[in-house]
Amino acid sequence: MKKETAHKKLVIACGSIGPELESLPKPPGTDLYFMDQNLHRIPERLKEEVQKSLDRFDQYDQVVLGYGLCSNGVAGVIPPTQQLFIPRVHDCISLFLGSRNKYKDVFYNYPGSYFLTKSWIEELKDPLGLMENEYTQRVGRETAEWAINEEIKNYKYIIFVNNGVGDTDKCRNRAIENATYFDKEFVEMEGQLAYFHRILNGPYDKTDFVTIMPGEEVKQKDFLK
Amino acid sequence: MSFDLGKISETLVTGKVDDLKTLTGQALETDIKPGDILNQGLLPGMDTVSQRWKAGDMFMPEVLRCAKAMGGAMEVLRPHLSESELGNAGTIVIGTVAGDLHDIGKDLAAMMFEGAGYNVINIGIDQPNEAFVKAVKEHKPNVLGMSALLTTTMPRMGEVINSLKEAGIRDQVAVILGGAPVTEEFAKEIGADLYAPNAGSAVEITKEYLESKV
Repeated sequence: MKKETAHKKLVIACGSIGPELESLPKPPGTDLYFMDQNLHRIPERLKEEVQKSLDRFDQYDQVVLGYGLCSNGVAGVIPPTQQLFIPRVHDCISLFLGSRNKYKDVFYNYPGSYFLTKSWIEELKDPLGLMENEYTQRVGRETAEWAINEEIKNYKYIIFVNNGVGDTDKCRNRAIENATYFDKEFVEMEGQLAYFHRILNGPYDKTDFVTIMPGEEVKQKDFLK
Repeated sequence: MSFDLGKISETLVTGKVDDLKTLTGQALETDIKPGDILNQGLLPGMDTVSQRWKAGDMFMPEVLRCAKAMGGAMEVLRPHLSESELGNAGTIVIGTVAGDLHDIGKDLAAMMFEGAGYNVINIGIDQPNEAFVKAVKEHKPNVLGMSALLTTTMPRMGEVINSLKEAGIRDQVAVILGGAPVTEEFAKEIGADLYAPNAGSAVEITKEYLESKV
């Protein structure tokens, strides 16, 4: 097996891609640190928390973020001392599907898709989970049901991206349950672990990763290329 | 009789649809101008909603409930807004770009523009670039508003601006952009005139710009 470098490397990743990353062998000299998946909802706070982690883990020479642009959640972040690599993707869907191009294809062929994977389902961030838990607690069941329907009314598909991790039958069933409840078309797609493998092992080439030198700022436009 | 417009803002933020309607009706019975109910009561309320959403203190259902309350209040208010306050501020064509099916923010902005006296042509979601160009040709608006909620669809906004240039009508219209992932820097880079960080501010930003052009 090819060794990346002797330097210590840290992967700071969103909890949403935890199951996939943890299913792969961790290369020597690489540490993993997971952040709260809920930060996804509040890009401003995501930025603050990623920055805090970068400031805190300054003993590492290299950091790989297990994030995409994530609604500008990583734009504006500055690694104080480390070289930083970030997948050049809009969000985790490209990671789950294996590449930006695959996501582009799916985006084009299945317009109006709500994507579900193991973590989004198990953390109850699927439409049913959001409605029954987060939303109902805040506004009561009736308003919760109205709100989630408003939120996803223009979506046509519920796509379950199956990466083969965890209890896939259970996840698939829950995805189907969502599709049935909200009257969407259920689609299952096979995911790829290739991007996750590269987050852990490299290579961090310019096509698939944004490279940021210490003291440089992450820019939105790096991801729009 | 004095009426506390702050109460209208507060009630809007709680998202109580019926209470806000009642309160708006009560305000109309005083000598407060309908325009002030909108500008000093409802719009500051929506601004608070935007800020709390961004900070993560409000969740989607609460925001949607506030938007619904705002809509209800506008129904009560609209017949009372004088002609000078309604329909004379200009025309805006507004829509969400191709591939993007999100309309919550865009519709909220449309509602705000309508409240501020614009003639609003809402062309809907997932609109191909040509649809924006066609609507500008047809309606000759002062303002074109484009929305995108995804960084994947944002680039369509630049394409629309280029199509307007090619059609020779770019100078006829002020282009304003909105949507969560859109930034001021991005708006400048693709040659838009204006950027609104939220639906509430879009009206004010547009008004200032149009006035500066007169």
